[in-house]
Amino acid sequence: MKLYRIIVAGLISCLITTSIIAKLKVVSSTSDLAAIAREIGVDLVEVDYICPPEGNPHFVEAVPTQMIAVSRADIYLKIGMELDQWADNIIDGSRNRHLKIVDCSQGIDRLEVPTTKVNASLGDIHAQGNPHYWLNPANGIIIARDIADAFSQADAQNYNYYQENLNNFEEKLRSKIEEWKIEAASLKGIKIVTYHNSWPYFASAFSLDVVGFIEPFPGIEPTPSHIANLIEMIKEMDVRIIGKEPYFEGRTPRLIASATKAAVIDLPPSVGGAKGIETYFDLFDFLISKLNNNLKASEL
Amino acid sequence: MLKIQSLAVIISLIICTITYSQTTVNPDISVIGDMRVSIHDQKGTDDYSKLDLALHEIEIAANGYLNPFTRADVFLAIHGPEASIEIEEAYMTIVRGLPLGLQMKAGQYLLDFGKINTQHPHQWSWIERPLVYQVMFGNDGLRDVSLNFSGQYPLGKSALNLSANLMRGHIGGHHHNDEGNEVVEEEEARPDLGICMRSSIFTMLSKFTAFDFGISTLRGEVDPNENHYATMTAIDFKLKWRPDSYRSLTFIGEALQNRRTVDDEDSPSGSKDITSYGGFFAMDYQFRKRWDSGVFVDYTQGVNDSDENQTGYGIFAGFALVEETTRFGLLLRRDDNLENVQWNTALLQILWSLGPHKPHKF
Ligand SMILES: [Zn+2]
Repeated sequence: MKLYRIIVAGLISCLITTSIIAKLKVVSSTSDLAAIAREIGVDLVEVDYICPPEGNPHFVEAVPTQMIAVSRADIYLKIGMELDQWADNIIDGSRNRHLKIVDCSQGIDRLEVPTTKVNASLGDIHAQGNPHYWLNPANGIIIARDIADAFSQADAQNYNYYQENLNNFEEKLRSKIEEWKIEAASLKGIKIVTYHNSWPYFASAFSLDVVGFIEPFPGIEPTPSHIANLIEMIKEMDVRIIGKEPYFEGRTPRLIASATKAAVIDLPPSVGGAKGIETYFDLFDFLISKLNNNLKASEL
Repeated sequence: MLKIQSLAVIISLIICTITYSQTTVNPDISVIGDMRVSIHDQKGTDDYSKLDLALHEIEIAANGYLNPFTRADVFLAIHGPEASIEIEEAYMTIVRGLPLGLQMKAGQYLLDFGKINTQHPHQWSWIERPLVYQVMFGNDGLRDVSLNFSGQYPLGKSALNLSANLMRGHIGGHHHNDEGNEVVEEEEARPDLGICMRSSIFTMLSKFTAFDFGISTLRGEVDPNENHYATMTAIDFKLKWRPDSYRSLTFIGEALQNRRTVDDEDSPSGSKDITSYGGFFAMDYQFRKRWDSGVFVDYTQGVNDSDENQTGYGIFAGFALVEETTRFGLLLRRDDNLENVQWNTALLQILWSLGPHKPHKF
C-alpha cells in the first residue's frame, strides 16, 4: 500500500513538473530563424534547426531523423519564398497534424520580385524574389514579430513573456542598427562581387554596391565566358572585394582574384557560419568588421 | 491497353478538376524525357552492332495537395513513340491526421520492397533496372494496386520506419514488347491478395554520413490455377557521405531471396519448391558539383529456376548541366546470360525534366 502511494505521488509530481516545464518545441529551416526564436522564447522554448549553418540553404536533402524532430515540434519556422521547399518533404514526413507553420517572409518587403513571367532559362531558385531577407537587420524585427505572435498563440498564458522579450529584442536591435550604420559608413558605395546573389538585403541596409555574381544565374555553376566577362568588369569598376559564402568552392573566386586586384573573403550569411557568430547580433558584428578590415587592407 | 489509357486520362482529369474547382491552386505538372542512344554486340539479335536511338520513356507527373491532410501523385509513362499511355503510379496519401502517426497510401504505386524499387528509373545513375528486379517483377519493377500504412518512430537517435501493404496480388510483373507497350498476360483466375512489408532504420553515422538498412518481405499467389505461392525476402542498405554540394559518395546494395512453388512434371505431386537469389550493388562517387561516376554489379537467378543465372557489371558516369533539368548519363556494361552468352552494351542517356523540380529525399 505504501509503495502504491509512493508511485502515485511520484507520477503526479512528474506530471506537474512536466506540465510546468513543458517548453514549446520549435524547429526552423535555418539557424538564423532559430537564433531570433531563441531571443523571443528564451527559457520557454526549445529550438532546433535543419540546414547546417555551413550548408547551402537552397539545397537540403530531407532525411527521416529530421522528420522525427519535426514530428515532436509545436511550431515550424520557414524562410519561404521557395528557398526552403525541401522543408515540405520534412513537414509531410513528420505526419504532425498539430504543427503550426510560420512563413517568416510574410511581412517582408521583398526585393527582386520578377515582374515578368518567370522562366527557368534565368535559373529557377529565386523565382519569387530574393529570399535572403534575414540579412537586413531591420527585417529581423519583422521576423521576430511573426515569431512572437506564433509563440503567443501556441502558449497564450505566456503572452506577456514573449511580448516583453520581443520588445527587448526590438530595442536592442534598433540601437545596434544605429551602431552598425556608423561602423559601416566606410563601406558606403563600395563595389563588391559575390558568389551567389545572397546579399541584396544586406547591401540595401548598409549601402553597399553589389555589382556582379560568380554564378551567372542563381543556382547555376559559373561558365568560362561568364568568368571572363566578370574579370573584365571587376577590372573596369576596380572592384576590390569578392565575397564568398563558405559553402561554395574557392577555386573560381581565387582564379578571378588572381587576374584582378580583388581579394576573396569568406562572408558567412548565417548564424553559426563562422566561429564567434552565435547570435543574430553577432552575425552583423562579424560581417561589418570583416568587410571593414578588408577595406582597410585593400587601401594600404 | 485502351482501357488503361482512358482510365489514365480520366484520373488526370478528375485530379485537375478537383484541384481546380476547390481552389485556384493547380497541381504541379512536370514532364521527364529519357532518350537513349545505344549499341550492343549480342549475337543473334536483330540489332546486333547497330546503333539505336530510342525514346525510352516520357513521364508525365501531376502532384499536389487535395486538402491539408491528403495529397495525390500521378505518374503516367509512355515507353516509346508507338506506345500507349501507361499508369506508372497513381495514388493518394493521407499525410497527417491518422492515429499513431500513420500515413495511408491507396492506389497503384511502386511498392517499398527494397530501396531501389520505389524510385523511378531516371533517378538511377546506373540507368538500368537491376536484373533481379527485371527477372522477379518485370520491366517496371514491383508495382500493384495496393493499400499501404506506414509509420515512422524514434529509436534512440535513429528513425524506425514500418510499412505494410495489402496488394491486389499482381506480383508476376509487367513486361514490354518491342513497341514499348505493356504485355498483359491473360489472368486465368484472380490471385489472392498479397502482403508486402518493410521495416527500415535510418541513422546519421556522422554529421555528413547517413545510413539506412531495411528488411522487406512479400507473400503472394503466383499461380492461382495451381494454388502456388511465393515468399520473397530482401535486405537493402544505403550509405551516403555528403560533406558539401560538390562531393558525395554513395554505396547502395540489395540482396533478394525468392521461394516459390513451381510446376514440375517429374514430381509425383506435379510441383516442387524452389529457392533462388539475386542482388545488386552500386557505388556512385560525385566528384564535382555536376559530375559523378561509379560501378555496379548485377546478379540474378531465375524466377522459377535457380540454375538460370544472369550476371552483369559495368561502369557509369553522369553529367548534370543544371541538376536534373538536363542530364547526360553514360553506361558501359557487360552481360552474361543463361546460355553463357556474353555481350557488351554502350549506352548514352539524355534526360531532361520540365516543370517544378522537387527536392530529393534520402
Ligand atoms: Zn539564393
